[in-house]
Order: sequence, then structure tokens, then C-alpha cells
Amino acid sequence: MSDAGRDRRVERERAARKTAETLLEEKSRELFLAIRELEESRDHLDRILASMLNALIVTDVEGNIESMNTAARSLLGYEVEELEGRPLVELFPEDCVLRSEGIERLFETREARRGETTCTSRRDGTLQVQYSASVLETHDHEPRGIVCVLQDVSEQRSLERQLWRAQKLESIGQLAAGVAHEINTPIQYVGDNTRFVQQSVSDLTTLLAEYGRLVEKAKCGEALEEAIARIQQVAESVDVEFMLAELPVALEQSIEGVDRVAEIVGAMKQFSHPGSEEKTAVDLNEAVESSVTVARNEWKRVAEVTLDLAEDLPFVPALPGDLHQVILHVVVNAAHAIGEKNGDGEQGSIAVATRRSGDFAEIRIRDTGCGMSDSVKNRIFDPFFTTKPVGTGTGQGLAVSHDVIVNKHGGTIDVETVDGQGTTFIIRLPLDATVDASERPAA
Amino acid sequence: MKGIVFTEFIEMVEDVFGPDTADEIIDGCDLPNGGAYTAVGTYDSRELLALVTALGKATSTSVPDLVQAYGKHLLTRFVVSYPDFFEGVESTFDFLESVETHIHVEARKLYPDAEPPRFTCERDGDHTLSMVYESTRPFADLAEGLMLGCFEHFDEDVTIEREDLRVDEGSRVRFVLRKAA
Ligand code: HEM
Repeated sequence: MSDAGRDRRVERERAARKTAETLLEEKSRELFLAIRELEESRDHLDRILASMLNALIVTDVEGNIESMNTAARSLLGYEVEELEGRPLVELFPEDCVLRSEGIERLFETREARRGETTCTSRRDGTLQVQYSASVLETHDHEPRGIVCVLQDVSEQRSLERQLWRAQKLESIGQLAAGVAHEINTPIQYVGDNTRFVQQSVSDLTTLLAEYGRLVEKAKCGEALEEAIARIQQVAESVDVEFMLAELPVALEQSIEGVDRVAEIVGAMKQFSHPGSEEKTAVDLNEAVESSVTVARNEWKRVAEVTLDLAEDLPFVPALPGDLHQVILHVVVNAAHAIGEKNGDGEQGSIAVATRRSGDFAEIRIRDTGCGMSDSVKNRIFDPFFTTKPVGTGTGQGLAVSHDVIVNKHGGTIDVETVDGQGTTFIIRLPLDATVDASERPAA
Repeated sequence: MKGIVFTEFIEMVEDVFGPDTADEIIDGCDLPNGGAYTAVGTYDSRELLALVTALGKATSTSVPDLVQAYGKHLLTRFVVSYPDFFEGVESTFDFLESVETHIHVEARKLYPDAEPPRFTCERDGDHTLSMVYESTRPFADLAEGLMLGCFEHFDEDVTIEREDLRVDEGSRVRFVLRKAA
């Protein structure tokens, strides 16, 4: 090879090396920037997770805890190291679906689960939490683990309980006027009758005194004509005949009135019970009767109420205060629906029936009121939804009723309605107290 | 196109036709970088075509034949530089199928800006493999040469039937490879 050729070759090799070195430097810089960007985005992601208010727990493919964010650590009161490798489901009680069904089911269906349950915090004891659990997948859709998000709803639940109590007080307040009126009528005639009895007793005393005088005179052998005439005169003036006929009626009416008052007061008492948190055996028929009694002033002008109560209905494990409140609410709603349809004209009807239906006790409350459109029907159980004018209620009644029946009793509350013709509410309560409906699969 | 295709080509020219020929054709092509190629760089594929055309003139050989010969040579180089890709592979067909599914995938990890061609493989029994080559560039001859190199490497008696398919842009060629029973 010629010298010039060799020189050119060496020159080319040198230039190629330079290019290669420059490329290497460029790549090295690119790599550095890429790594830094990656670190930054990881750091950013970590910060997002750390600033999340919801607790986030990630497991491996066996369902064992792998990592937790800051909120999870403070919610549970444990450090990651303390829980690492422990099964996620052990955070929840035995009756939680996640635990009873096992996470295998999640991997099988790949369907997210949502629900409410309790979990134990080292610091705060038992917490009410809302959870969601979903499968974390790899880029090629293989299961990689579970992402579980927990939200502490203990405070929210306690606020709801307070709201429920407020709602209860509100409806008691509204009813109080009606009840006062209901009590007023019997009290009025008990008063009138008692005054009549009082007057009669005084008249009879006067008459008896005349008879006393007659007896004295007869004993002494004196003339009696004058005394007899006096007795006749007094008897006539006080109208003894009328008095004797009316007294038993007055007394009977008074007893009736007092009974009526006692009945109303008794029914009222069921409502003012300091809301027991424990379920007790409740007689649904009695609950229906007292609710109807308390609500009488609401329905008596617009409807006739008929009761068809099954005699063989077993007692139902329930929270008596809450249950009364629900029935009352539905009955009052029925009366309002009829009032809205008929104004003060034609009488409507409210039919309340109880019966046993399999493992459930059922209450049907049917009215001939205005009914509802589908769009209203779909929203009646939503919190704060109301069709009534502003100021007439919080709109919490049916939402709370739904919560009481479904969440607290594991029952169902359904509504059948024809717009313009009437509505039937069907409440079913499980006879078996072990049913707990607080956890449902995600809708 | 990746520099490795250029550096290997120039090395081959130097080995087979001597450094003077190599210098001559580089000099004659008026290349932007004066022929200073590095394997890790990226260059216009037309530069390679210019080099091959110049070599064809200098040696009075047809360009397709040269490109094919280069392919054959390149495979022997790959055997040395990338032994891992050949590890445990027993036959030509298995190896050729792995070009699309594995080798070129790995190549892109090394050279993210690489644009290797696409091969759609289909087996018809034990003895026939159809490979459809698709590329934005006209390097079917290189593919054919690489295949011939494979037959030699695995010491198998295989024939190639080639059919150029019509495309609006780039190239598309079906190779049907038949192994002697
Ligand atoms: C160890 C084996 C192999 C390696 C490491 C490898 C790597 C590469 C690389 C890095 C390129 C450059 C791509 C670009 O410049 O954008 C390329 C191109 C190419 N490869 Fe491979 N390859 C291998 C085997 C094969 C085989 C066996 C064939 C043929 C069946 C093949 C056919 C081609 C063709 C035809 C091109 C030219 C580019 C085009 O046509 O568009 N390769 N290869």
C-alpha cells in the first residue's frame, strides 16, 4: 500500500475513533439525563403517594404486603417493615368479603372489590374503613399484586349518626304539634265530663242532705209532707233522672279518653327511646301500630288507614328506635303523597300489611297518592334529595331509612310506584340476625 | 443505517480485495465523513450503496452479487462478535426465525435508532420456511447473503426461491427456503 494510502487510512481510523468517542460522550450524557429524569419521576410518584390522604397498600402476587404509603402507615400505626410479608387480608375481620373469599377470587375475576369494613389501628383501635382492592397487572397483563386503598370513614359515620339523630328530632318536632292536637281532643271531653261529674256529685250531695232531713223528721214522728215536697223540688231542679242516665256515660267516655291519651303517649315513647345501639327482638306489628298512631294527625284528614297485620309474625332482631323512625317516615310520606294528589277533597287510603316471607319479615305500605316518575323514583334514596319545598325537611329521611334497613339490618327497601296512582314501599328485614350486609361487591 | 454495516463492509473489502482497493473506492465516493465510519454511528444507507457500486466498478462485479457476498461474509463476523445468538441454536430455520423475534429486538436495545427490516416467517412442514422481507431500504440481497451464510454455518443443504413482491415504497421480497431431505 502506498504511503499516501496508508496515511489516509490512519487518518480515517483516527477520525472514526474521534466520532466514536464523541458519540460515547453524548450517549453517556443522555444516559445520565435519562437516569436523572427517571429518579425525578420516581421521586415525584413517591411524593404523590406520600401526600395521598387515602391509605395505599400494595401486595405481591401472593397477597402479602409489599409496600404502604405514609397515610397507610399512620392509619394502621405500623411501619412497612412490621407488616411486610404479612397477608393483606389479615388486616380485616373474618367476616369481611376480602378475607372470606380470599384474594384468589380477585385474581380470577380481575374485578375490583369495594366495600366497607373495620380494621384495627395500633393507635386508634377499631376503625370504620371504606376499601377498594384491585389487581395490579404487569405490562403484559399478568397479575403482579393487589392495590388496596383504604379510607377512614369513622368520623363520617359518626357524623351520619348525628345527622340521623337530628333528623329524628326534627320529625319528632314536626309530629309534636300533631300529637298535641290528638291528645287535646280526648283531654277536652275528659275535662268536660269530669266537671259534669263534679257538678252532679255536688247536686246529689244537696239532694242527699234533704233525704237526711226526711229521715230525722220520720224518727221524731213529725209531719213529713213539707220535707217530701222539698226533696221533690230539689230533685226536679237538679234533674236527677238526666244525671243518673248521663253519669255512667260520662265516666265511660272519660276512661276512653284517658286510654286514648295513654296510647298516644305510649306510642310517642317508642320514638323518644334513646336510640339503642343494640339489636333487640322487636314486634313489627306493634311498631306499625304505634307509628300509625303517632302519625295520625298527618293522615286523618286525607286518608283512611287499614292495618292487615300477620298474627304469626316472629319478632325481628332490630334497632327499635331506628325501625320505628323508618316506618313513621314512610307512613307520613304516604299521607303527604295523598294530600298532594287530592288536596283536602277526596279521602285516600293507606294500607299497611305485615307478613312473613321466607326468611324475611315484610312490611308493605301502600298509598293511593300521587306516585312518582321514574326519574324521581331512581333518586329517592339519595341523600338530600327531596321533592318538597325548601324548608320542609332535610331530604335525609329516605336516604337514612335506606341506610337503616340495608346497612344496619341487612334488609331491603324497595319501591313500586305508578305516577299519579300511588306508591308501595316494601321493607324486608331478615329474621336471622347474623346477616351482615355492610359489605357489598362493587357495583 | 448503523455504522457496523459500513465498518464490516470496509473491513471485508480490505481483506478480500486489499487495502488499496478499499482506499480507492472510499476516495472515489466523495463521502461526507471521508469514509471514517464507526460501528456505533449512524449513516445514510445510500453511502453504502455508493460504496458497493464503486466496488462493483473496480472489480467488474454486479452490485447484487457483491451485496450478497457481503451478507455471507457478515454472518461469519456475527458468529464471532455475537456468539450468544448462536448458542444452543441447532438449525438454520430456528436461527432465521429468531432474527425477527429475538436478534433484531436485541439489536434495537444496543442501537435504539436502528431500523432493522421486518421478517414474517411461516413454516410449511419440517423442510420449508417462508420468510417475507420488508424494509424501507433495498437490502434484500443482503438478507439473501446472510441466509446463505447461515446455511454454511449450520452446514445444511438449503435452496432459496426468491420472489420480489410489488410495493409502492421500500422493498418486499418473499424467500422460500427448502431444506434437502
Ligand atoms: C447475530 C445476528 C444479527 C445481528 C446482530 C443483526 C443486527 C442488525 C443490525 C444492527 C442492523 C442495522 C439496522 C439499521 O441499520 O437500522 C441489521 C440490519 C439488517 N439485518 Fe440483521 N442482524 C443479524 C442477523 C441477520 C440475519 C440472519 C438476517 C437475514 C435473514 C438479517 C437481515 C438484515 C438486513 C437485510 C438488514 C439491512 C437493513 C434493511 O434491510 O433495512 N440480519 N441487522
